Amino acid sequence: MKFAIVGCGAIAWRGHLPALSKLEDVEVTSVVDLDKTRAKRTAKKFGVRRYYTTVDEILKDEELDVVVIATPTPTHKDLAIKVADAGKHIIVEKPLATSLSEGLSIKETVKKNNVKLCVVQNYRYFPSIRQARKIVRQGFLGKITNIYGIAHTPWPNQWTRGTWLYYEPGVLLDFSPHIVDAILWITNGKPQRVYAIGGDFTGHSNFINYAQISIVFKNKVIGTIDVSWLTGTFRYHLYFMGTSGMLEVDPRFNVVFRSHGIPTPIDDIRYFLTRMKIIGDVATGRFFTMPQLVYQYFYKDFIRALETNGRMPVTIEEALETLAVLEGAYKSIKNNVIVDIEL
Amino acid sequence: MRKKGSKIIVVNSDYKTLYYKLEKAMNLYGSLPLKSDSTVVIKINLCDARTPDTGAITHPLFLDAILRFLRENYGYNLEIKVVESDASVALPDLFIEWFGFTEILNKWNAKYVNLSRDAIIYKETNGRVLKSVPVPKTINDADFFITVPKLKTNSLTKITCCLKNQFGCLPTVRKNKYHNVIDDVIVEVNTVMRPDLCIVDGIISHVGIQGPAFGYPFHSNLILVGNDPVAIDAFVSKLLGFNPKSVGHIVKARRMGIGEMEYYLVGDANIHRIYKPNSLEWLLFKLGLYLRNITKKKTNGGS
Repeated sequence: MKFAIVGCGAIAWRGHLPALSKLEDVEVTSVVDLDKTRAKRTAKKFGVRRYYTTVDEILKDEELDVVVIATPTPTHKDLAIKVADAGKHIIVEKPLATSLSEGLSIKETVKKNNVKLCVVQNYRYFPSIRQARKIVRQGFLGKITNIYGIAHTPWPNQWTRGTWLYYEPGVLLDFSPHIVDAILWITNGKPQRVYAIGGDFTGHSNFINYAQISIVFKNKVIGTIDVSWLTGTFRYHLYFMGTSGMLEVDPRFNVVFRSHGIPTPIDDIRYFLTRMKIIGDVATGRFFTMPQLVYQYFYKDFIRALETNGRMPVTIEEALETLAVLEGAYKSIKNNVIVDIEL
Repeated sequence: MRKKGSKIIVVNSDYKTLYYKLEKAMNLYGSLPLKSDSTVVIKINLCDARTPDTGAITHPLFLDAILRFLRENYGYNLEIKVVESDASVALPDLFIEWFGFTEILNKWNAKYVNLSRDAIIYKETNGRVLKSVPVPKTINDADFFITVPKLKTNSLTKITCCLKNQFGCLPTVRKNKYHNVIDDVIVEVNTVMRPDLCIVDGIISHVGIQGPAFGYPFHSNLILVGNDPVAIDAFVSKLLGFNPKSVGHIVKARRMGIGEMEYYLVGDANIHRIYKPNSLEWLLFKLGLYLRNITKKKTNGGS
């Protein structure tokens, strides 16, 4: 299967290209970047034969199967439409687009051209997230009543010198899609309403750098997510509360901890041992390699789905749901209203 | 009897009483050799996207106090330029706006200059790493150069203060390429961009193993003033729990004649250690970084 990567930034270097280079029967035939030097450097580093500065040049390649769009989010819509019109399958980095209307345009074009599109939600492939899904779906927590999530990251300057995230929705379109997607995917919840508070906590930047988002699901479950660029930490925690227990999930530290009933010292020991797994993960290097391995798992799933004409690992409908929640949160913060999600 | 070493003014202050305390410190220091139309360059520290209350970047109120002092004491004809440069994770053009510096610059008619976009003059140093140092024209042409560092720990160099602040004068964006030889580069930069005056914003320090940007704030309530960056850094090392003789760039700077490690203190006596480094924690952190780097190399780009 032949792939091309559009956008030679941090995520292509850290996620896509290393993952694709490790898969069998996969070839990255070309890379594209507006910056010719960067495209050339990327091609050299990952042994890619061709490099270009515009996407039009790769679309002429009849043998090309899939185009990976790893560019800043504001460019996703135009690129995805162009690639779909050329009859190529698409992988696009999260979030799908900057707005629901852009996302719907992409969906329409993809459908019209009968190509497949998959959004990269790599966090679904962290072992702890997959385990959490099983636990929730198998009913070990009883009926889920509420979910609490924290997604705090340093500002994006830690991984890109690009400035496209520093506009009105800010933090909502950075790491937040990961946690919203995880909640929707694990619970299979259908969001109905969103209310959010937050904004610019520096006082001078005019974009959202902190937000607390409450989501009411159609099955009455309530989710609350706390997203921030301000704390300077990297924290991703999920807590699922049900009628028969509680589940704590931390994908980065590979923690999945279930508690039922009244806590006993045995629970404390279990919790301690669960947390101590990190020592083994650091010693084996797994702690550092996992963020990249999940890209490999994602690509394997994607290729399998494409070959068997099966369901995409992350469908465009799922990506639109995530986008609808985040756009709802943005509107809610801006206008101080509860926003109904209509899809 | 003449005291041995360089003079360091130490004044206790918080941000509420800052201006008067800064004025006190400057009076203890003595008058500055400024003419009414001198060009003064002030190097602040905007190393990362952290809010001023974290202590990781210069507090805008601190800059406000310095600018007010200069204007009220040396007049409105001074040309004042506040400088910072781009770095791997630093976008000072944005940070100036986000963290409230723009209003202060406008209020005191000071100009912001991004040194990464400045004209460059190369100066020979014949150093171990940099044979010649790119000096931004703004600094080269300045009549008086004030460095305004924060008081912080640094996972690479143990401490970061008066000497390390000039590393941020290098116009190069990818400064992290020098991290393996940082002590040498700091010294080489200071041989051609030695500040005339150092005013340390130590009201909120930033300490911990993840300094200089991801540690934690400590309200140390200090203003330090002096003209010897080596002496101040030696004093700061002690405040941060490190032996100055174990801090590579301080020792090398002394050897290169940038300043001396001996000092005497003038001003307030209420000084105590700010931070006590835990050797095991620092060792584990370095080990973690080492393991991550090995894994990065193995995984063809890293995670």
